[in-house]
Amino acid sequence: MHDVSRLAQVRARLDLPVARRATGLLEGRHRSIYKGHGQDFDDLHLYAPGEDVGDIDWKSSARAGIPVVRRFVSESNLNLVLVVDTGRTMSATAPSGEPKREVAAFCAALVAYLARDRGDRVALVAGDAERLVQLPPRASTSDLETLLRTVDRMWTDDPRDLPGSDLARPLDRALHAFTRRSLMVIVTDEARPAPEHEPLLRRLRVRHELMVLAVADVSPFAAPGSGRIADVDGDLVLPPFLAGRTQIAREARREVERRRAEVAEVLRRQQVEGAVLDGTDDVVHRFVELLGRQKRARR
Amino acid sequence: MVTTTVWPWLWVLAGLAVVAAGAAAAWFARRRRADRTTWVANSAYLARVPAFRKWLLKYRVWRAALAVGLLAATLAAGALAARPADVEVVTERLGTRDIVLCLDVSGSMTDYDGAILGIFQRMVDSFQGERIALSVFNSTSRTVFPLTDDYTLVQAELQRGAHALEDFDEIDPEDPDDRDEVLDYLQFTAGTWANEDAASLIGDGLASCALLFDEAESERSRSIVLATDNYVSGEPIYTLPEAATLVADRGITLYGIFGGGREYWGGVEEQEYRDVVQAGDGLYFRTDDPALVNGMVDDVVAQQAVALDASPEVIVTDRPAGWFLVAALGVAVLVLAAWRVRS
Repeated sequence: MHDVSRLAQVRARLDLPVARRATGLLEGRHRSIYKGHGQDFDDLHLYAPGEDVGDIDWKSSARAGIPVVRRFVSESNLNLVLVVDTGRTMSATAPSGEPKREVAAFCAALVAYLARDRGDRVALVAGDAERLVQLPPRASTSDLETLLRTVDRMWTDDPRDLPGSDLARPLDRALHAFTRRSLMVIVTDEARPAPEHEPLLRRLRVRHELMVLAVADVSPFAAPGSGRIADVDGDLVLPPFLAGRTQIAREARREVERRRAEVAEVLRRQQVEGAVLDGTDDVVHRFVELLGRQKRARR
Repeated sequence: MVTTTVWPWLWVLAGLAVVAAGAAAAWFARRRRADRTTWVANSAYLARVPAFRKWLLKYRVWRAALAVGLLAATLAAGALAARPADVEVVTERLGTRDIVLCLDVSGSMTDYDGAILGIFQRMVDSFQGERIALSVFNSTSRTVFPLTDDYTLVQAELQRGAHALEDFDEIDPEDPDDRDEVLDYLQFTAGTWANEDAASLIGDGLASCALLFDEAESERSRSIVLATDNYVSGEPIYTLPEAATLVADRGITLYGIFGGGREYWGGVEEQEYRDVVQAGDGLYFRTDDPALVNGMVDDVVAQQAVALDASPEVIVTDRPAGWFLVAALGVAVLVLAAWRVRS
């Protein structure tokens, strides 16, 4: 798998028919996340309260009869920072049956691909309870490949060999390492950012744009295969006697939804957009949706 | 009788075998399982799910039942392998002793026969496993019962005889009320007066008793307990000394009980009787001798201890029922729990 370029893999996936909209996105909608002041005219849209009054295009407004804002493509030279959680929880299974790390790696690759397409530079902060890896912003294809490989290498097949997850450490590093306003894409799992990460998130939010790509966890009661079901943190081995109980599965699903709502509430309070991803097939689709929401939020 | 196990080391071996098999299975399962594990994460919330806690408790209970069943099955299987048994040591001498009780029921003895049968009963109480026969004689002999170890029968017959001969003096043959007693007496002594020309032929009676022993070729202890007053009336085929010689020739020990009244003590008859018995190394008693029963029984037992090689036989009786039940229950619990835990 390492023989094939990560970026090439993303390109291959985006060429699929189901990804047509995404291709369109690259041409148009994607850019809109960087909309603002710039040289190249982008579009006109209705004025919304809160926007800079100086942006109102009076000629167009006179023609339309209502205030219209003229927007330009931003002179984007934003840094893009990938903050990747590499703890052992990321080596568990996603609902699609893939390891979560593969979904996370694909997210990173997708973000890197989009950034490269725009000529943005991508930096990396990856870490967990014991390790912390940081790469400076780079734009070249080979540098991006190196970056993605670096992320890949931090995971192993056996989750027990990995350190525990601690999202606070890479977030803290990202907060102090990047002073220039950047777009930070946080790749973690659905249990994070937890409420204890909220202060860090608030401080990051002041300085940077934030997006959260959370890889979902498979339910222990819906795990594929017939083998043993065990938690990577070692505090649960689910025997078949319990795994097949629909009653537990039902109540567990409620508890999972409650936790997701908690995470979503943290994100909402900090005005951060996030998406929960079930598998690699899901990534492009959800990401497009996320970008759409980001655009509306930024309006 | 001791309840024990024949091969106790098999018990330990069975336990070790089960432990070894379990360890091997666990080792293989661990190796095979490592690459079949589906890893999940962030499942700590399950501890807050009530249904999960409930089922986890059930699971643990079944697991405990599984362990208990396995333990019981292992223990019981080991115990069965160790062969639980009752070990009984039986001394054969008890079964190789033949005693013929030889009772004179002639008219001169009728006053004493009831008491003598009582003595016989007490002697029989002291014996275990001996074969006993009873022969009564007057002019001829009748075998009441041949050599047998059926003590119920022996005691019943002795009791019947004692009842028939007791208080014979008070029976009035003319009185219709005593008809039953007369009948009992006649039935018990039937066949003893076939030779009507004579009565009380002691030598013939003793000789008849000597012929009651069977299994002549096997090495057994043989005794005759003769009870008589040695008052002969008529012409016997065997005189008492001749009969005693016949008895001695056959390797039979003769014990004598003198049944006559006190006025005959020391008489010629008693003297002859005593000489004959003591010449054959037998014991001689008078009916009222308090040492009679114990002395005679002790002598018989002591004599036989010498006469027989004391080769005690060990009888092992398997008693698997209890452990088998435990094993069956253990396996049942094991299978049930394993089925519940796996489903």
